[in-house]
Amino acid sequence: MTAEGNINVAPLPTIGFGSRAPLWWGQVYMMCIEGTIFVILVASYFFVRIGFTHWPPPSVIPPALGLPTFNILLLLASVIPMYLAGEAALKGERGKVIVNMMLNIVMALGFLFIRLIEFNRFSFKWTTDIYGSFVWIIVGLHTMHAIADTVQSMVVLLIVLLKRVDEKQLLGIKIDGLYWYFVVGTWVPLYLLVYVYPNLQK
Amino acid sequence: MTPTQEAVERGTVDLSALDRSWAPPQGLLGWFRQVNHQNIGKRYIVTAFIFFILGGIEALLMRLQLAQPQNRLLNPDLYNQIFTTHGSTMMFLFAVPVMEGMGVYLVPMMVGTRNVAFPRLNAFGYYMYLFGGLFLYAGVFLHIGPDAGWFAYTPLSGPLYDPGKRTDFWAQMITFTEMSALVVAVELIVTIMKMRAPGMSLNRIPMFVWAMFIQSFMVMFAMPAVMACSGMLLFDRSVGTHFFNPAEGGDPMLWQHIFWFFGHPEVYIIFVPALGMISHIVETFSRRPILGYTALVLSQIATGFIGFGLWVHHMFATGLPQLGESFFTAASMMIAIPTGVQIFCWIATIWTGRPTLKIPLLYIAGFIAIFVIGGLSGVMIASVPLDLQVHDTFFIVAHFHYVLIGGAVVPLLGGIYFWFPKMTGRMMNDAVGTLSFWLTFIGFNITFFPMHILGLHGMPRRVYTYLPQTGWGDLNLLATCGAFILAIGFIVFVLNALSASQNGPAAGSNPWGSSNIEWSTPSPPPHYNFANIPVIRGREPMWTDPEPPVVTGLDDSRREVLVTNTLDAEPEHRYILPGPTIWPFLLAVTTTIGFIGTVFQMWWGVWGAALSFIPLVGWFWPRERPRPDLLESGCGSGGIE
Repeated sequence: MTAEGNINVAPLPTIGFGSRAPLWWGQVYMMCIEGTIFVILVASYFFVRIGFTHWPPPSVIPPALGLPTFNILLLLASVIPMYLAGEAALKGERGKVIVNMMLNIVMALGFLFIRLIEFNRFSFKWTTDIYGSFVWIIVGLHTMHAIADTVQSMVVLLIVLLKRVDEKQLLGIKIDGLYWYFVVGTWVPLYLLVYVYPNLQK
Repeated sequence: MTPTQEAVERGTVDLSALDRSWAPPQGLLGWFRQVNHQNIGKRYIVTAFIFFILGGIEALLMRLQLAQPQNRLLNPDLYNQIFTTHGSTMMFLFAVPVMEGMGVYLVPMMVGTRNVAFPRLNAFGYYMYLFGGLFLYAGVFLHIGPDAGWFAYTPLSGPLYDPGKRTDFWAQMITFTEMSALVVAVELIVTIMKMRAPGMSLNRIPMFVWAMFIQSFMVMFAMPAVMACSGMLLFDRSVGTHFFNPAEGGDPMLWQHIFWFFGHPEVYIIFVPALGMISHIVETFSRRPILGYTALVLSQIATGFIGFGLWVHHMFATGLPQLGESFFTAASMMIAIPTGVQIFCWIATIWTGRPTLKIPLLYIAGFIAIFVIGGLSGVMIASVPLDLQVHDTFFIVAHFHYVLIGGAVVPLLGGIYFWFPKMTGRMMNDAVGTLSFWLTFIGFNITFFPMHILGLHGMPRRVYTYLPQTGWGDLNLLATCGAFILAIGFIVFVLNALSASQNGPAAGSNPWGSSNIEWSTPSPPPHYNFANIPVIRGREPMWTDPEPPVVTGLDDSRREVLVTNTLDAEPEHRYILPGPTIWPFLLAVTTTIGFIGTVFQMWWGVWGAALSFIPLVGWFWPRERPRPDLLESGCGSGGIE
């Protein structure tokens, strides 16, 4: 062993952000996995759809566009406070973090409430036919993701409220935000598939 | 003098602090709080071998039943359960987890770090795997073992033809084990990308690490498919969705497409790690650097991609459009090319080196012989007309046992023989090793070669018996005899390992004179792997650079590791890993409650999620970290997160 060429890492920081953080990559790969599940559901949807001349099957009325469209706008808007919370976290502005996190959670809860109404307004059940099965599983799976990340945001907010914000919590806020972008981002193609596509087919 | 002693003498490391920081938790409760990759990796390997023995017993039962025509040892129902459980065990509870276990144990050591990137997730994955396996076997012993084949084709596995809970147990076992495989994949990819020792640029990554990297990516894109379709099957069976129900517009073929979109990559998920092991064994015992490193890596990457384009060749008999069949025939033949390149690289390495035929290399020689035969029958059945002739016959059974046992299990045994000294600090017995190899090799060929002929004579798979007039009795009896020789070979191997772990001669740090840095640590390695993280300056550091410079300045009083960048492994920042914790185990318990409950009543999914909230919060809740000013004075080491 030679002392020459030794690398002293003591001056390096104990945390890295963005693509330097292992946790960030972990979250990205989790999103890849979950994204793959959605892709497989969408591919299956079209695989089954090929067997039909009329889609959705004539016995089914596709869901109306109004409420879901309002809801996706609300969901898209909820990205803004999430982004601002992340930016504030980087600057160490605790107050702004709390306000924006709260705003995001309120919007997310609003989104989930309207989602509940969307479910109630479906004129079909998952047992009705294959179309119903696919709509319920796709919207249901997305809702599960949205609930999970809303709960996660609440826990992150609770930690920020109760604990001193240090570097590790900042990373937590950024990672939580990343996951919310995923929840919002996946809904755009799924919304087009579930709500717009069948209405175009009429 | 060991490297550790040297480091201590040079004063670059405080060994007692390192020891304290990385010490495993003690006691019975400590077992459930363990997060060190060496322990979790060994648990995976041991658990997988226990399931391997169970799967092997099932195989022997089937062979006994088929030993003569119209045998009455097993009734048809039990036979169905046994072949389904055998396949499911070998694929989901043995082959994938044992490879994951080897990866979890070896990868951090081979890339020069102290643990995987997400140690708690690692522990969680192991418990999920364990509980999934126990759940399936609980079903088997309660006589509700799955009976629709390890691929559970619909509509046979659907609610109409398979009432009761049998297939539900199977489908939920999938959810458990795939979750485990997925978390291992994520943590290994991140470990390999971000935690390599400084200087280990992409072109210096050891071959086994490359193999696990590629395998993990395959897991990441293949396993979600089987989770999706087994979930859809569960919904069809329990809440009345119609995904695979043709009466309401669903399609049973959908199941086959999604399942094989997972199922074919699955074969490579098992096989690719074995390729990595082979390269190390070949290199070590040829005593020269591996020939064609770049070609080998690129071939493995190509295998990873092409592996996703083959799934339809399992479905040639389902009446697909001819263009589709031709495409998948071409792809199936194409995958022989990267495999061929690798085999030629290994043969060339042995040819141009100074080979010594130690036991691990013997296994690799056995691998080449068996796998080439399996590969040849593979090219045969890639062709549609031939496949239609032998579809669902014993020819297929022969083929996939040649590629799976020959391609994965034989190199795995060689790999275990090879790394056993590192894991336990002791050598396995060579004479017994030779005996177990030849028993395995001869027994394997006697068991499975006759199946080619049986298949060509038309003997179908998955039938519990056959008539004497068919004339299949003699070859079946021969195969059954072979199966027992094979089983004795495996038993001798296991006994050798068990006895060597107690009484084997001490191994020393590098008994084979191997080239990679995991051999620079004492055997067995300390919990922190390396007293000093080495700086990598070549592809065979133990040969070309046995006394490398080291990394200094990591805080030994807590679980600190170095994060480097992906391409060139230049240091980026330090990173504090979590210590022992009970939360991953508790989360696995609550998730298991939810999963098992869901088999009987869907609402349990909600209760399980609600229950899981508690351990999740416990897991993520920040703990007080030692303040830097206290650390300086040396009294802050207690509060490690």
